[in-house]
Amino acid sequence: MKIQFKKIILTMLISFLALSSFAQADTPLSAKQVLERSDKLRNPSQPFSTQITLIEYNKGQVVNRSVIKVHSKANANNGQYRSLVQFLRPQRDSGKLMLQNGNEIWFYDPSAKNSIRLSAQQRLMGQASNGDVMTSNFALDYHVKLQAEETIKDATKKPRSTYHLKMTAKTKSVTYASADYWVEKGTNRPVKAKFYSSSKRLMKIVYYTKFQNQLGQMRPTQVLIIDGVDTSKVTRMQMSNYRNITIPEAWFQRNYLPRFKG
Amino acid sequence: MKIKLQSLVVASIVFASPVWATNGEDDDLGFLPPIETESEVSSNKAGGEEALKTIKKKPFKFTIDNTTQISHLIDTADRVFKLPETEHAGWSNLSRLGLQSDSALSQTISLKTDLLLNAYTRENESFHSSADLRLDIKETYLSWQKTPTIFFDMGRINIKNGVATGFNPTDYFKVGTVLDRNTEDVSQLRDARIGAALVQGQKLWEGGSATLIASPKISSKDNNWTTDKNIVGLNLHKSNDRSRALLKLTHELNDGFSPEFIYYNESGKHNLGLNISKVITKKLFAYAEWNIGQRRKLIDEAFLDARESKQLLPVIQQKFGSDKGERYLQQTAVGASYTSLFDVTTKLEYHYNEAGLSKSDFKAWFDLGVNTKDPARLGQLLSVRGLAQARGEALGKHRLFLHSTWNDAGFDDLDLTGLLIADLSDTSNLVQVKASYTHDKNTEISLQFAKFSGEADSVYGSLDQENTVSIGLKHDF
Repeated sequence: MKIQFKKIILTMLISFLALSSFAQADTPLSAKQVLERSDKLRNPSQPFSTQITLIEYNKGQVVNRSVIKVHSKANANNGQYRSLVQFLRPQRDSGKLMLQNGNEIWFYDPSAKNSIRLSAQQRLMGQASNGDVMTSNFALDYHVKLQAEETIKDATKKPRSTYHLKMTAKTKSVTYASADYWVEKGTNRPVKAKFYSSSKRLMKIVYYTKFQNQLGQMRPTQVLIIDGVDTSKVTRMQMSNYRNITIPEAWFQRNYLPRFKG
Repeated sequence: MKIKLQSLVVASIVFASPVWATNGEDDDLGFLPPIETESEVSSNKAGGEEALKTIKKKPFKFTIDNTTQISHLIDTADRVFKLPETEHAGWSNLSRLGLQSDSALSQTISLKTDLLLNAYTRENESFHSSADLRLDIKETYLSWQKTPTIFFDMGRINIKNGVATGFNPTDYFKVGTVLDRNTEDVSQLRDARIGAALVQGQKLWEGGSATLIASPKISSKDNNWTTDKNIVGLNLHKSNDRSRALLKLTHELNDGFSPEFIYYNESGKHNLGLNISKVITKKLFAYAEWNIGQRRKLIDEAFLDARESKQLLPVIQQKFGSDKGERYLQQTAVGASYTSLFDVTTKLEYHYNEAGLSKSDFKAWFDLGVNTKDPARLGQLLSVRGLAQARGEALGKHRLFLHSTWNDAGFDDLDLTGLLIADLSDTSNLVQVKASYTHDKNTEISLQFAKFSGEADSVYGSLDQENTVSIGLKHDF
C-alpha cells in the first residue's frame, strides 16, 4: 500500500510536470523566450525593407491586389519597430505613405500634400488593418503565458507540434486586445495566430507560411489573414525583396513624409 | 478503487502530454483559398511573380476627372437675398486633366510639379475658352536635400498645417487658394488649392523638426501672367497677395505626443498656433488646433476696402458702426476620432471662431439683406460670407462638425462618407453624403448629395441652394 501510494504520488508528479511543459528538460524556454525568438524570425533585428504584395480574396476569388514597401527599424530605447510604408500599386495609391512610430500612425497623400492621423484600428489595405502590416514586436506588446502544447496543422495542412501561447495586450493602444499564438516547438517558427478585440470577439485568424532564408534566418514570407467576422474574406500578404537598409532616426516623423523617396 | 485511481492518473498523463488540437483549430484551414504548398514556393505563380519583382514608384501620374453638379435652388420668391437671376446656375460641369511628377535632376535635387487643366461649363453661360479654360500650376518647385536631415525648397509649394479635419485655424496659407468648391468637405477642399511662391528650409532631428518659410507679396493685379486673366495665369494675386513668414517647431515630448508650435507673421501681424494630438486607445485619438492672431473680425475685414474708399453704404455703416480695428482673436478646433470594429471612422469636432459673426451681428446682416434689390448693398453684405468661405472659416462663432467614413461599406470598394456641419447659434446645418465606388483599381465613380437646412434667417437656411447633387468620375493612369 505504501509503495502503491508512492507510485501514485510519483505518477501525479510526472503528470504535473507534463502539464507545466516549460519545466521539461528538453524545453527550457519560457513562454516569453519562445515569443521573443519567434519575433526574431518574423522580423529582422537590423533595419530592413521588404516589399509586400497584398492579395485580397472574397469567397475564394481574387478581388484586389496592392503592393507596398515597408521600411522598418527597431527603436534602440524600447525595441519596438518604427515603420515607413510606401504604397506602390495600384497606381491611384502610388506615392502615398504611412508612418508608424510607437502608437502614432500618420498617413500622407501627395495629392493632398497633407498628413492625417490614423488609428491602428483603421484599414487602408483590404482586410489588413494598419496594425497588421506594420512591423510589430509581440513580446513587447503582449503579456504571454503557455496555454498548452498542441499539434495543429499549418497552412499547408502539415501537422506541427506547437506551443499554444496566450497573449494579453500590455496597453490599450495595441492593435488587438488578446491573441492565441501557436509557435512550432524546436524552430520557434510562428504557425498560426488568432487575434481578439477587447470584447473577446475574434477579429483575425492568421497563418504564417512559406519559410525562406531571408537576411540570415528562415522567415515566413507569406501571411494569410482570415477576417474573423466574415471568414469568406482573406488577405494574403506575400513578402519579398528583403534588404538591409540604413535609415536615419530623424526620418520616423510626420514632417519627413513629404520628402520620403523610398 | 486502487485501480480506478491509477487509471485516472494515467489518463491525466495522457491528456497532459502534447496533444492533437481537439478544439477545432484545424477547421480554420477551410477558410483559406487554394494556396501553393511549400514545395511550390520556388515556382510560385498568381501574385508570386509580381511579389518577387521590385516595383518602383512611377515619376509621373496622370489623372482625368469630371464632376457634374446639379443644384436645386429655393424658389425665387422665397430667396433671402434677391440676386439677379443670371447669377444662378442650376448645373455646372468641371472636367480636369491632372499631371503630378517628381523628377530627380541629380542625387540631391528634384523637381516636383502638380498641374491641373480645367474646363468649365455652366447653365446660362456659353463656353468661352479664355474664361472657362484654365491651367492651374498647383505646385512647381525645386527641392534640395543638403544632408539626409537638412532640406531646402523653392518655388510654388502647397503648405498645409493643422491636425483637425473640419476647420484648420493654423492652416495659414489656405486663404483664397481653393480652386473649385464642388464639395463642402473641408478635408477634400484642402486637396484642391494652389500653393504659394515661397522658399523653405527644414532641419530634422530624432523626434523633431524646425521649418522656416518666407513667402513674398507679389502684387500685380493687371498682369496677365501673374493673375488668372490668361488661360495660363499664375494666380499669384490669390496665393501671394500678402507677405508671410512662418516658423514651425515640433518635438516628441513623450511616446506619441509631439506638439507643434507655430509662429506666423502675415504682413507684420503676429500669430501663434498650436497643434496637438494624442492616442487614447487603438480606436480613439483626440486632437486640438488653436490659433491666436492679430486680425479684424470678419465683418470689419469684409468692409475694409469699401470703408477706406468711402464706398461703404451709409445704411451698413449705420448698422455696424465704425471699424473696430485689429486685435488678437482666437480660433479653435477640438475633436476626437473613433474607429469602430467595422472600420467606420467618425470624427466629432467643435469649432470656435472669435472673428465670426455674433448672433446680433448676424441678425443685423440678415435684416439689411433680406428682400433688398439693391445690388450694391447685396454685394457688400455677401462679401462677408465670401470672405468667410475664402478664409475657410465659419460665418458664425460656434460650429459642430461630424465626419464619418465607412470603407467597404457592405460591398468591396464601396466607400461612404457622411458629413454634418451645424451652426450652434441657430442650429441650421448642412448634411452631405457621398458614395464612391472604385472600379478596376484606378477608376472611381462617385455620387454626392448635399442638403442645406434651417430657418430663412439662419447661416445655412439663408443660402440659395436647397440641395445639390454631384456625379463624379475619376481615372488614374
